[in-house]
Amino acid sequence: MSAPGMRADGVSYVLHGRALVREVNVDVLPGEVLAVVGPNGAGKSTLCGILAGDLAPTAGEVKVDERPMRSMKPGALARLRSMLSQQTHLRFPFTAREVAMMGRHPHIPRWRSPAESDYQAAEDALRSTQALHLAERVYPTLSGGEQRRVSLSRVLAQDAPIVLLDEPTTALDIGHQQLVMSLCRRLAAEGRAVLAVLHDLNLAGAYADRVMVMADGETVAVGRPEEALHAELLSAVFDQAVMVVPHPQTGKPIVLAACESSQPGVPAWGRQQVPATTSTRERSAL
Amino acid sequence: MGAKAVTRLRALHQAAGRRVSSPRLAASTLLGIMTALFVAALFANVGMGAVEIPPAQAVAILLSHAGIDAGPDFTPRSDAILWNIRLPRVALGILVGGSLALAGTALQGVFRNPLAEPGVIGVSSGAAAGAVGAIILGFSVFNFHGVAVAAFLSGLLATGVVYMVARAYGQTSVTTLILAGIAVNATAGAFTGLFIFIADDDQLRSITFWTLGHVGGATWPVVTSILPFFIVGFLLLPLWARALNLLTLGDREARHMGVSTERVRVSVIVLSALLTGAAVSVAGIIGFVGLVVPHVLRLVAGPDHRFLLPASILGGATALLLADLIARTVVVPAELPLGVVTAMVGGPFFLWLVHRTRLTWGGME
Repeated sequence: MSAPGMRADGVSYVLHGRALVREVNVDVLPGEVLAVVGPNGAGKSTLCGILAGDLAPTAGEVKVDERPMRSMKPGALARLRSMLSQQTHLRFPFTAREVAMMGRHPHIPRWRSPAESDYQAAEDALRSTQALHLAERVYPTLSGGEQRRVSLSRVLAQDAPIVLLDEPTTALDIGHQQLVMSLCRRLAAEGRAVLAVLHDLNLAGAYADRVMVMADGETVAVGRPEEALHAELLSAVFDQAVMVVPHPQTGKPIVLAACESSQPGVPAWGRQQVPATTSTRERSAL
Repeated sequence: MGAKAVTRLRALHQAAGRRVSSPRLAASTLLGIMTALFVAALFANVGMGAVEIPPAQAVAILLSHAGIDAGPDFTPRSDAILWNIRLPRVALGILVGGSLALAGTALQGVFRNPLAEPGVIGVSSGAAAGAVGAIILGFSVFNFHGVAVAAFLSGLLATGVVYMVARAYGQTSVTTLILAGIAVNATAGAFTGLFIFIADDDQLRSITFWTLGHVGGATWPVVTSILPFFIVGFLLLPLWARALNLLTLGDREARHMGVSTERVRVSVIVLSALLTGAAVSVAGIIGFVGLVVPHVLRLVAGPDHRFLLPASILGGATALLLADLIARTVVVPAELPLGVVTAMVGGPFFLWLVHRTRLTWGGME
């Protein structure tokens, strides 16, 4: 038996006559990191909400592990998929460790206390997001990035085979962004299905197995990062001239906003190479 | 320049690595302190008054009612005062205080709002309107059943309206619930005002007496007739502790972790309304216990409902016993209304608490 995945079949979400998501098909496959990118208002978070079960699609169906999600009970669903929302508001002074422990909820039977393994799972989760030193701190007093990592620990502690992450790297510094994305890779290596909504196209390019580009509620491209992160497509989708260059070390695509004034007369967007002049100037500026 | 900055950075990292722990009391320590306070309040309430009954005598009287002869002698008068007057009063105080604090804790959790108290779901103001209406219709305050039953039913009705209004598409929103509560409270307040306006002088005295709160008229039949409601609430509400912990993260998050949020909300609201309705129907309006006790406990013990819910029963009971002790001893031979005492002590105390919380956490949020 293969590990469970998730599939959305032609899902739409219409609110007040406006389609926020229109006939989208997604496969979140075990062992794979799927990155969803797109401009603000493209419907990424709505899609994430539909996959998480927060929003009932107005058309189409979501299947978890081959079963329709609608028919599943919250507890059973929570053992199959975990979800990191864009924002978490917690006003009560729980410690980071207590918040991470909450992720164990679906694994603790109603009439039992948490087992030693539950405490261990919460601790491991905090360690893997480099938040263990925050364990006894009170959540509302943590910084935005620290709160984000603690919330991610809670999601990891839930130990679900399907992991949905809505902008897991926002509010994080460059080091912790890399940490979180490496965690996504590790989850996929463990055979889990990972979907991450990302704003940083370079993180998507560097860490995802597949990238899905959304615009106006629809899927406009799905494929390997090198295919989906195409300069012309991205320039059109984001309404901003961009260029795509290979990472000097990994060769993975890097997306840069094109500087239109750097070389007058030559259209800046769609170019595949960094102009030498730009890089020299940048080097001297440093 | 660069190397120096890196060295400085390393030192900063080390300093930040030192653990900062939250200033909480261990649950067992706190429970010990609370139990001691509760027992002290219990014996003070039983023993103090026009006739002093020392703890040893009180125990002896209790044992004699259980058919055991033991300890110091006591007069039949002490026996009568303890068994017929003070004990039912103490029992009612424990039940009322415990249920107001428990309902307050549970509602603050389910509304994710530290301002919530039993009043937010309309039950108190609804009960008040019902009780005042019953008094106008000629029921006496001391006729327990008429006024109390009217108060209880109208309290539940008000909560039902709040819940129905806030419910849409099989879901309720916390904000809508609070807004609906405000509207229902205002409407019920208008009815109370109208009844007061048409009341005669005797009825006005009764209404004033009822709305200021009291546990003085307690008798064993009163206590036993409402006991089932309290037992149901005390036993069932704490079962939702873990779900309430998860709900503090938000509805969506709680559902992601497997909580049936709507079922939790309905259960907590219904049980809290039952508890508060029962408390208000027999004791009138007693403010601040349901607001202050949960706050104090959360401040010293942290926000874990698995501890908070049972502890708030004990804390609320103790708070009410102490308030009732003040109510009946400061202006002997008269008595202060209980609701006046709880508000007089609770109001300023809550102000201090809010200020302190603002200083330490930058606010309640």
